Amino acid sequence: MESKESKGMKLFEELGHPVSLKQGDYVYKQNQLLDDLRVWYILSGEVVVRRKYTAIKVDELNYKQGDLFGILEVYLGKSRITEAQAMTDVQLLGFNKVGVEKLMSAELSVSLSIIRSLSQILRKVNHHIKSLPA
Amino acid sequence: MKVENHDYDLIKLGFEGEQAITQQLFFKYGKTYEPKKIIVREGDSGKEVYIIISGMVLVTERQHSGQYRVLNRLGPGEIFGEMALLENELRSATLISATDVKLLILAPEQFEQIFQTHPRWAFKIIGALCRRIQSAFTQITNYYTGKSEPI
Repeated sequence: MESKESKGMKLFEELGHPVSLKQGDYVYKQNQLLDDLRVWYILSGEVVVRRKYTAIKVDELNYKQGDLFGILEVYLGKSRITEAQAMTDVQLLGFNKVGVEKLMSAELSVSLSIIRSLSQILRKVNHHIKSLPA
Repeated sequence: MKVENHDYDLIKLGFEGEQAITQQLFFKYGKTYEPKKIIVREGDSGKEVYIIISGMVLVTERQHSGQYRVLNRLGPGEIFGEMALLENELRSATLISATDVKLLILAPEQFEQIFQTHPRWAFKIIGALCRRIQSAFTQITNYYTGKSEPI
C-alpha cells in the first residue's frame, strides 16, 4: 500500500516544474514582475531570501532542502517584494498558484510548512521593527 | 450566549458560505475580550493559535519605562500565536485588545483538525500573514527612507 509520504511526493512531482540553478544564480529579483512559477520547493541545496530596504539595510532568511519559499507574492500583487538567490547549486520544483493550492488542499503538511515559513519572516521583520528607535 | 451575525465580519474574513461553521467553532473555542486586556504576554510559553473574528488587537512590546510600544495592529481574519505552535518558542510580543475582541483560540490539535476539514482556511490565513508581512516591510522601508506612516 502506498505510503502517505510517497503519495505526497508524487503530487509534488506531478504539479511542480523542475529547475536547476548554479550557486549565485537568482531564482527571482526584488521588483521583478511575477511569472507563472511563484512558489518554490527545494529538492537540494540552499537558498537565501532577502528583503532589501536600502542599499545596506537588508533582512535575510535561509532555506534548505524540504523548505518552501516565494509564497508572499502569490497573494500580494504583481511583482516580487523580496529576492531569492542560490547559496549553493540547487534543484528546485516551481509551482504556479493553482498548483500550490492543490498541494495545500491535498497535503496538510504543505499548508503548515508555508505558515511556518511566513511566520519566520514575520518574526524576523517584527524583530527588526522592535530594534528601530521609537 | 447570544451571537450576533454582524460580529463576525465574515466578508472581511472571506468566509462567505462558511458562517455556520464559524459560529459552531466560536461556541466551542471562542472567547471575548473587553478593550485594554492582555491576551498574550511576551515571554510566556503557550501553544494556542488565535484567529481574530472581530475587533482590533495591538501587537506591542514592553519598554523599560513600563509602557507598551505598538508594533502593529491586527483585525478580523488575522492570526497570531502561530509561531509558538510550530516552533515551541516563547511568545515574541504582548497582544492587547484595542476594542472589544472576539477570538477563536485553538490548541495545536484543533488547529490541524480544522485545516484538514477546511483546507481553504489555510488560504485565508496565509493571505492574512502575507499582508502583515507586507505591512511590516513598508513600515521598515518608510523608516529608512524618511517617510512617516502611522502604525
